[in-house]
Amino acid sequence: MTAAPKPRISRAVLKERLPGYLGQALLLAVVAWLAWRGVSNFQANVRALHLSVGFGFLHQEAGFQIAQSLIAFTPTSTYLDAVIAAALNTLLVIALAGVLSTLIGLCIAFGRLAPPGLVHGASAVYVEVFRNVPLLLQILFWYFSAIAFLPGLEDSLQIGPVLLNNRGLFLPGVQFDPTIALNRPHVEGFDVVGGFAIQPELIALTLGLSIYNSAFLAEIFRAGILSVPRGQIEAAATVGLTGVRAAVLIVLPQALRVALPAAGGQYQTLAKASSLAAAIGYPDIMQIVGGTVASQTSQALEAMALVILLYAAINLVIALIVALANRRLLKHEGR
Amino acid sequence: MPLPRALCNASTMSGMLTAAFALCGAARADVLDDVKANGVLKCGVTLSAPGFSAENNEGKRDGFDIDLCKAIAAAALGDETKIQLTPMDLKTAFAGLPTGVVDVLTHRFTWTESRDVGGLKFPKIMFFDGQGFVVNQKSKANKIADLNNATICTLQGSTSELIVASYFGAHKMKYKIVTFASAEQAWDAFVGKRCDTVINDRSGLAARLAKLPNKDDYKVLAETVSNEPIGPIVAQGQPRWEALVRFTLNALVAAEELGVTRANVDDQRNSQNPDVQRLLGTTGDFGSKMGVGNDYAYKAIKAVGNYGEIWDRNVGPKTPLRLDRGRNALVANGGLMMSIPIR
Repeated sequence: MTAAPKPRISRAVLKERLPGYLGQALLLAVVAWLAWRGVSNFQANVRALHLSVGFGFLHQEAGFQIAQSLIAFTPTSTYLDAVIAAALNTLLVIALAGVLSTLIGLCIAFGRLAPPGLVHGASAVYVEVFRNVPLLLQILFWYFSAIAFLPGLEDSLQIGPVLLNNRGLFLPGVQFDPTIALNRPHVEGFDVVGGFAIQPELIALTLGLSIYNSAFLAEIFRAGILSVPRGQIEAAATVGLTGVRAAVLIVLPQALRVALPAAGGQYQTLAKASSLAAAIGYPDIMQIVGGTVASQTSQALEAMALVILLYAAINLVIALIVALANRRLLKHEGR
Repeated sequence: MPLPRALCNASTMSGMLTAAFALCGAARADVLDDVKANGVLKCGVTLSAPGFSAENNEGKRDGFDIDLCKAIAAAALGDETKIQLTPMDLKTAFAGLPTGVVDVLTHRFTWTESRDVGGLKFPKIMFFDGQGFVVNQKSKANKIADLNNATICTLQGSTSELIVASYFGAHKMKYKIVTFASAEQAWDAFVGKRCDTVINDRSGLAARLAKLPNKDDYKVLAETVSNEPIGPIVAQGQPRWEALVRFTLNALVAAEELGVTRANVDDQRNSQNPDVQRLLGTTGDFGSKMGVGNDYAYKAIKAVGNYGEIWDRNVGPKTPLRLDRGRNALVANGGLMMSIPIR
């Protein structure tokens, strides 16, 4: 294959494109001016208000406790540790809700494509109900109904080695010291001792985010599946692929190509919506960094900048993953 | 070229403080000038704290904090009805003050070193509070020492979080904490038994309990774990505005000390007592030095009455809160409340 000759821009083409170039240059100038105004205004305001700006506080002792942390966190940990713990909590709930909402979304999408009947109807109702009720309301509903309906500490439900009460779901852990044994959770005073705890805040937030986003994802997946030409399914049948095998091998890969960009946007929505955690006491970025750290250090400016930065970073990573996946899909098709 | 104020305020209200700082014009030159130009005093208040800042049956917000806002409006503008109340949580309040969304916070925030050094100025303590714990009546806990390993509900970013950490740390006790964006949700979660106890200012606990139909199902533990000096807040770098807020609040306390009430304040203008004369501005020129009339304190007292009257009307024994004066009694009566000398 020979390299295509470099296209030369003729005078006529240039004349045609000139307004476009000028427009872009003008826009760039306006953006640059706004940015410059912003920075100089910011500096003037900070000086006028005698605010001390900086991130030095991150290395000070935080002095507060975080209810759930994937890293070791005590009141003697630093504010930086708190930021990391909060970011990990946010990532945890995004990952859990991302996977769960995808699974539910797929089921509902296939449900809506089923022939009219109970499954079809139920799936349609699911989408319409959960898509049209505000997410914050749903999260508060799951949280406060979980607290209301689950038994208190003293009347914990015992399901095998698993303990369930309104303080959370307590799974048995494995202990290695002194001998390898099952570490059964049990109530001791005000607390459940032993095992591994999943707090009701995490459960409610995961549920709320998953259910709400799965309703949107289901529609996106359905659109993707419907975009696959009927001939493809018939062709799959002629080579002996039916049912689930046809769906997984023929329909889904092609449906994904259409669904992925829209689904990617939905995952970004999910990531941002996870900040509603603050309402139900789940220690995420918004709550810990935007709330506790901001108020205790009085460095609201820096804390809010951190919050913006973290959410932007998370969403950019999601966008990157979607873009890479998209490229792979297209490559696969030989485009 | 500063962008329209509305845009600045919108970005601050939505928590986009950095954007607000960058977009909005220079920091406000003089708050009092702004207040006079706007013809209204903008106060940031608590979302909902019965007795302090809550909507009454007519849908109008009233309470102890609202009266302080009215007093400042009366002093600055001569009209206590010229107020604009903005319910704010902790995040929006601390961001909204320096950027001019509000002129003063008549809120329930504690004066702490970090807040003061960070640019929030507390002109005068108007409420001496302390934090306490509420538990279920049936709870095994009768004192704080019994709360080892307990789960505690509270407001995120509040001083309560730090108090719990330092108190439990000092006493080598363990705890779990669940923090909520609003005090109401923290309280709901506690009532729903998500937590064994809830910590807040004792006045706040009383306010919440007053709202419950089954308040006898709960008990407040006797110990007070902290000192909470509470008062209105202004932004730093505004000495004239800070002084006006301080001495308006001070006048309310001085009036109680001197026996000046809402009812008798007009007669008291003829008083021969030099202290009363200086308080009401019939002698002296303190008001004009702060950019208002010398009778600014008279107007404030005329609007809302003295400190004792404000207390009795909103949180006193005849209200659902039934708070006794305790630490907030005048020094003459064994409390901590006193005025700065007006001379």
